[in-house]
Amino acid sequence: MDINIGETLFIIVGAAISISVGELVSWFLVYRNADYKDLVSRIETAVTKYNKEKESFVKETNAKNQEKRLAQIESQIKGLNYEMTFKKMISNAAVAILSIVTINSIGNYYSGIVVAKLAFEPFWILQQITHRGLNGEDLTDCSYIFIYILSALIFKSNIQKIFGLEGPKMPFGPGGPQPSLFKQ
Amino acid sequence: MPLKKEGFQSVGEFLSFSLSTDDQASSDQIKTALFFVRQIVSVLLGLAAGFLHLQGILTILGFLFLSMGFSYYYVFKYKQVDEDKIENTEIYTEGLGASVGEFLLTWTLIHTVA
Repeated sequence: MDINIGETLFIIVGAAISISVGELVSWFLVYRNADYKDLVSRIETAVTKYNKEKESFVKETNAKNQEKRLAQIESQIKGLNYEMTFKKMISNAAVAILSIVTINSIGNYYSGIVVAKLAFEPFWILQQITHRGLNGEDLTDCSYIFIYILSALIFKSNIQKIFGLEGPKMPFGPGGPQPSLFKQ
Repeated sequence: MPLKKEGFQSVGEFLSFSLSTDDQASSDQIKTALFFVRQIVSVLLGLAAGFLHLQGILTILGFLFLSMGFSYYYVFKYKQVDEDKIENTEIYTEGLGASVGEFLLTWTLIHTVA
């Protein structure tokens, strides 16, 4: 089977452009605004305060007072995080629509076309993505959507890291260490 | 430049920091350096896996093992960071998604062409 590597590279470039435009839209709608920057600053201040309070936590003495303070700060961080999620809702919706349009546009051209050969046989959940829209029984045939998803993941992570668009990291919840003080 | 937020004034300074063994750096600076260095290593491992015609899920597991091992070595042995300064889960998860994506993409492209 002849696979045109140029087509595969075109998908990668398409993903790069789509993600770049999406992040630009997010920056224009959300990240450049003063109230968003102020919100990030407030969250970072609260997180720093939380981490300092956690470090100085003494289990035997004044535990209830410190636990109460930590619970208050945690509640404040969660409230600010909720506010941030709400602010980013419009840009997230715009980026989602852009991604759908891009994937459909690429899909119209690449449907049924094998764009790469995988060096492993994917397990059944991954097959739904890697073998999407392809005929034939060879599960190492790769469709455009898998290449697009991998490329989008790579470019999104890097663009957000380079341009500081990741947002503040929470000390708890996904992506952060879990607080051990309040475990039962 | 957003990297200034983590104390880097230029790309050159960031590069020299990544290669130095400065143990006075903040955890954010270390994680940022690890993020990019790990991706370079992932691309190299993907190229190696492709040119060596490695196949199968074991290759992916081997990559994960090497990637995490490299992260531990880079932070705690090469940069000699104190183990109390940064948690193991943070160094193992920093840039994991992007590095796995780059490994799979590079490996697949080389395997397709070769």
